[in-house]
Amino acid sequence: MDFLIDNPLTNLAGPAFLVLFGVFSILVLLTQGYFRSTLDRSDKLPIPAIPPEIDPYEVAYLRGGPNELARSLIFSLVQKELVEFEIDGTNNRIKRTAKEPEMVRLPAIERITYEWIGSGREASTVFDAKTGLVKQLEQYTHQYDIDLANRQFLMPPDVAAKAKRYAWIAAGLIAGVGSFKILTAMLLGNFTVVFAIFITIVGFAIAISLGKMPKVTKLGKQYLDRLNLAFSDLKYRSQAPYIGDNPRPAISEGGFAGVDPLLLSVGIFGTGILAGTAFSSYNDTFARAQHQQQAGWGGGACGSSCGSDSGSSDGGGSSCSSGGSSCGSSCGGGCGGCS
Amino acid sequence: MEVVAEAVVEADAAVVVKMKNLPHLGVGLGFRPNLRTDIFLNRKEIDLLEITTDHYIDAPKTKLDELELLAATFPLIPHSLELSLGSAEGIDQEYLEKVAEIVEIVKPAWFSDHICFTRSGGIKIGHLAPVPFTDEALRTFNQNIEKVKKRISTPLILENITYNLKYPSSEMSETAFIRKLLDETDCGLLLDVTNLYINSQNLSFDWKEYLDELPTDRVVQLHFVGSKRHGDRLIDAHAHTTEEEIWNVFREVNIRCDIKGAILERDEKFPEFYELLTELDSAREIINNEANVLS
Repeated sequence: MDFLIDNPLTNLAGPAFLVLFGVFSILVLLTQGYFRSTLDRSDKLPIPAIPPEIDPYEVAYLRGGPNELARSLIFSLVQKELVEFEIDGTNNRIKRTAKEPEMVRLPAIERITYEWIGSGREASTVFDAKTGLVKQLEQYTHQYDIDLANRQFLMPPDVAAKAKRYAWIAAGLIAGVGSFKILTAMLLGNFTVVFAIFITIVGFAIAISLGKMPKVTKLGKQYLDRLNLAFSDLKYRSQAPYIGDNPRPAISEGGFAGVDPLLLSVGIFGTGILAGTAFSSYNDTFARAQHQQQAGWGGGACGSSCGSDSGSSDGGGSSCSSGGSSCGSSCGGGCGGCS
Repeated sequence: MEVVAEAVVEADAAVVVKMKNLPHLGVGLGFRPNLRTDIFLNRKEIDLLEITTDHYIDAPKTKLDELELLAATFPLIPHSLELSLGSAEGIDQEYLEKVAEIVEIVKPAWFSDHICFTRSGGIKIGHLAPVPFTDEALRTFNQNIEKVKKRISTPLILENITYNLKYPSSEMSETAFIRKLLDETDCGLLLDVTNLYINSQNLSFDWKEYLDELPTDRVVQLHFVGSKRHGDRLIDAHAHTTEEEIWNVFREVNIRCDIKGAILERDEKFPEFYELLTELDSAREIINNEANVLS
């Protein structure tokens, strides 16, 4: 028992222990980081090609999860003039317009969205995980999860579990050594343990946070980067018909495999690109609604109108600047808290 | 002597077989960055792309990302401008290395350059300059192409260029020169039907007779685009829609050759993208109809 309070570690003087403990914690975290980095090797796979047909909803889901999928769907219905927003101060409602949809021509996923809106919904309820549109879309998001995981764009569940295991081992080592020293020091009447507590807490927190794997794999990010690069001009060109006093009709130019260019742009770059267009009120409304709900994509990724954070030189993560005008406000709300 | 002749015939036949075995890649566009989004939006309508190799030499990362993206999505054919295969001073080894790097990234079925020189006395002349059709020029091409082939094993095809005057020192016709050149270097031919038509008009010869004399079994790829009239001459400006006269050359070439790929080569005055697609459709229709007739 004496060994517990009389050993090289407990006998180590405070400053020397702090240096040693700091180095130990860093080494543990570096080792954890190394093992974590080996979990996602998807970037070693061949570079994904741009498919001949792109589902804008699938891209939106990959980029921002269920929230971004819901945004894109509602935008599509707004663009088709089937749905509109009723803005009353801070109270925003989505409701059907008088226009009767040709239900058979609506894709099933849009039909579900239209039916969910029914006689009207608070915009903020779209993102409610229990009763919102995102809940209604689960069958689709489940299928997207399977398809995207098969293409190695989404992190497999076992990888996330492994990362957590590494995190708990690293956190346990740091907390174990730190706690032991703090306890024995206090038992010996030494209460100047603030720095030891600080290093323990910070090291523990970092280890746990490293246990959260991003939902999107490196290959998935590469794919988003490539979409950004391939369609970089589309962002501006698809906006153009909707800027100014006399926006042209909704479907303004030849689409991509039957998909409207603006919807494809929203799927790839996010609803932030709508700022400054005839649909900017839509973007503002959802920015506020998202701010109220703050649901995230995989516990950290930005599931909002700020688009991909993939960092492509002329595409990714830059949709906030598109339109060149009022984006600051709309994106600021939409991305709040998920940077 | 007879044995040597037989060996040459066998070697020629082997090259022809090699050319025949190249894949049919279809009809596509010369890639230009301003067309990028339209190209991806209309991916199904474009079978292949030709990239200008020089645009990716010493290029920033974004350009290399673009190259990787294109290579992952389309069959690509690198088309270089500065190998200067007709330069008596030899190949610029540094440039060749860079072309080789691009070819290694793209892994194309073949790559191409021109029957010309673009460098003299170590200075880039910024123009595709014609060579005199002489045995000496042939020897120069032979030496240079040998060096290229040592570094790059991918089949090389050579493009005919436009020119405004005939060298008095030429010892043979252009077609005889091309035939000897391809025979001696085992290269394929990238026949620019627009260049052929322009030369036939500017230099007053019959393009059908030219085709009669050309080794059509060596034709691998075509270039086509409209010509531009400048006074009484035609110019290869890459800025106009392919005119009927050039489609006629295209049709005739298609009857005589097994075309592996055809590229619309547009560089300026870009029209609405659907107009380019219409031209691709026209080319595809010619190639497919002829294939049907032959089958």
